[in-house]
Amino acid sequence: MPGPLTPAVFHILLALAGGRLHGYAISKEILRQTGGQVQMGPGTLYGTLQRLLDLSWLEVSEAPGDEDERRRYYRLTGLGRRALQAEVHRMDSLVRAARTARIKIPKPRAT
Amino acid sequence: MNAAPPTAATHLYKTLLYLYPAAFRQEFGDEMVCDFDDGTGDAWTAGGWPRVFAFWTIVSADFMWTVLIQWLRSGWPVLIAISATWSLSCCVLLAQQFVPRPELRTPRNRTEEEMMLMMLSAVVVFVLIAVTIIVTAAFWALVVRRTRRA
Repeated sequence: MPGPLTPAVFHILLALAGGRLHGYAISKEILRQTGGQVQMGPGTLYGTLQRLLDLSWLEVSEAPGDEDERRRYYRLTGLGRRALQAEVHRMDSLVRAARTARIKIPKPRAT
Repeated sequence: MNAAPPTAATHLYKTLLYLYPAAFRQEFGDEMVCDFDDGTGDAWTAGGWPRVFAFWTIVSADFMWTVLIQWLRSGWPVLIAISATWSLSCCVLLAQQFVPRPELRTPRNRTEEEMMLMMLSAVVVFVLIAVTIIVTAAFWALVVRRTRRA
């Protein structure tokens, strides 16, 4: 997947950076990380998870013993972690370039 | 706000999942139903019916878009079926406008001429259908390739 990551891919990789999560927990973590701005529906979430599994950026992990059997846990692979790091580095470079150009970055509104 | 929202919505969502391609539904269907259930429950706890309806609206819009995306990813048979249906509809409409329709009248000595005109019209229509199917299928294949690349 060359080039910038799509927002859905980036949010999922970022949500999993802290450890393994199941699907609903991923969407809740995305909601928390974006301050309620991004609410991912199940179709988008699992469609993107499918693509990331195909790319081997994610793998299915073992669930804790007491969890619902229908839920699967996902975690980043080494490949996925490197892709996330590359994307963060790319965004960081862009922000630095914007600051160098003295573009004012507005402060986020209090929610 | 102590009563839980009805689970009829969950049953309805589970039924709607059958509109997804079988492979996708078999792999993720159970998890999607769980997420819908938990999401509805959390929305109810957070703000009752208004939040539940807001959640269902988001899920419905997501559903309609992702069903199309998943079917486009599913492969050629679906592309051909969609292309053929679309092409046939367009060609029938075009044929009605531009291809002359032979008059239906009692047979005369000019029956052979009329028969040839009808056969020529049919050939033109079939060629139009074939060309449109090929062009439409090529277009959708390009869309799928671009979607996969993204």
